[in-house]
Amino acid sequence: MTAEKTAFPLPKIQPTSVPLFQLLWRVYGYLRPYWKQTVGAYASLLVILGLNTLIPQFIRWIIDTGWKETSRRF
Amino acid sequence: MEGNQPKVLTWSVLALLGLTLIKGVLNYFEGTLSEVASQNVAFDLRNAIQKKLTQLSFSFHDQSETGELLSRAVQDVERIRFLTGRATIRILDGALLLIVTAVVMLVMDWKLGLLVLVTMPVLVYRALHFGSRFRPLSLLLQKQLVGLTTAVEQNLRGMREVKAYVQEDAEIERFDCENDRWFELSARSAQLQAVNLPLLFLIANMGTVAIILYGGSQVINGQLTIGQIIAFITYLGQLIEPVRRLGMIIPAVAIAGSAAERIFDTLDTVSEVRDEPGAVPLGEIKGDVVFEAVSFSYGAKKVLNNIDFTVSAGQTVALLGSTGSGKSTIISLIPRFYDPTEGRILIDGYDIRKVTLHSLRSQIGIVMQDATLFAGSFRENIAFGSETATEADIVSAAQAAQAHEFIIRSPQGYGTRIGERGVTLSGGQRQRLAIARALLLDPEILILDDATASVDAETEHLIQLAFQNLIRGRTTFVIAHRLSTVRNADLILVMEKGRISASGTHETLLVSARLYSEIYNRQLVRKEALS
Repeated sequence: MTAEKTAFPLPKIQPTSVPLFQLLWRVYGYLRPYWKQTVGAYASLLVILGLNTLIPQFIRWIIDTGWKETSRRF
Repeated sequence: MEGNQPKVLTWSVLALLGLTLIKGVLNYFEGTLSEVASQNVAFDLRNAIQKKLTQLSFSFHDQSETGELLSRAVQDVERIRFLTGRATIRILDGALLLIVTAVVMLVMDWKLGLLVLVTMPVLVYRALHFGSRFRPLSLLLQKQLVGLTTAVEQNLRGMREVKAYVQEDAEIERFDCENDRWFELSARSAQLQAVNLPLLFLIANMGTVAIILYGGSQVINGQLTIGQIIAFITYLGQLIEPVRRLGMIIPAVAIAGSAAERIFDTLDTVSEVRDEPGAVPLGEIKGDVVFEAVSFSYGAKKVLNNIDFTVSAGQTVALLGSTGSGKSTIISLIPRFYDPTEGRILIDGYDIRKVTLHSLRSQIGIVMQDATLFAGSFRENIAFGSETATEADIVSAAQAAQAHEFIIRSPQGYGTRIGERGVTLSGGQRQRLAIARALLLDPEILILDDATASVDAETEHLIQLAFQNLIRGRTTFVIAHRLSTVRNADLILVMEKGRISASGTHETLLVSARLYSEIYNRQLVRKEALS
């Protein structure tokens, strides 16, 4: 089987009939009974986000303040 | 400070290790909790789909393809599981990190921050543009997968016919065509993805180049520190991963969107046959059945026209007629597999539309020629629909259905598994199991097809005995294929093009109805003589 085998026209791509936002809203409604797990997961996500913001600042502090003298020599 | 350097280094490394450890633990909780929630969503959806499919009327199943329904229940639910779990977490992670990082970079040095952030709208636009092109394509891809699955499924199911009619080559060609189409769509999808990802990386790396070029000169001029430059590069490095994920996740959201559309399409389908508001449970019935001016149309085609007849409890009604004359439709209306388009059906004086489906169907037994047996033991198959049956009841039903002997000869007796992973049964054995199932249900109304699969004379005799045991004392509707059935019937309905062309007993019809004597002499007598 090779890509050259196209012997028929590909169908025209049609967008789906229901707006994606509407579909997603309904899908997330199924998470409602499991709100404790969902909130736990999102809370963890927020703390991770905080750490991701903090770590580069910590590295900057180590280089610029912690090793100030070394930085000057560099 | 220089003297403190080893101490600072040690503490810094330990602090970094600590932060990384906390991140790891939180990542574990994030992953586990979101997975538990999304698995539960999938569990609920699968149950909802299964419940809906079993509730939907025959007219829905007549128009649906098994392959498509299977795909909805398995693949589409799996896509929703991914969306409500990891996919959402990653999208939120990516979006929030983008915003927070942008703010921090602008606060650190707004000029360098701005320079790096110029690439962000391009990245986001590129990721979203990809999603908008990929979503409709993914929908087509899913539909084509269904077509492919259906082609394989039909081929396997109809293997006997394919071989008998020497259609192997035609079937291979038909599958090849479906496969070609699938290949083309997959190739287009792969091409889109192959272009998207490197492009995203290329745009993101432009930011690193900008930091090195502009930031480097700022460091030389003493306006920025090396620590700040490293922090900028670290932030940008952190951003590339979420952007890459966005490129991966957006198509998954698109696919899940299509999957959700198909699932909700099924869940929102309203069954044409359902309990009407105010429907009451039908009490224990005697079995009087009345058809009052019943007509039924299948789409635009009228298949039953103005059917009227009355049957008293315990009587046997034989339905005769050529294929497509309306026999099967009549018997399908009694358990409300379909509802009449005009007229009404009464059981013991109750309009069957005004009673609950469960109370109606639980009092009607059905034995068709191609009875379906489920993967499970003989015991489970006989007790299907009779949850409270005891072992003694099951054995007694099997004995009356002439099935006990072959069951106890099987390796584990009543516990022997039948179906795809169990013992293979002949047509006659399957039929007797179906009769045992109906006997155990002990219905007041019985619907059956008395045709027997090509079986030897002894089996034929056993099946006839089983039928006699089953019919005794019940209101029975038989699609008749044998002389004894029509001769013994209390009422014979001769069907022709959706109408009752004649009705009465065997003796009266032989004299008065030409079509009946034709069917009787040419089909039934001849068939019996041949067998």
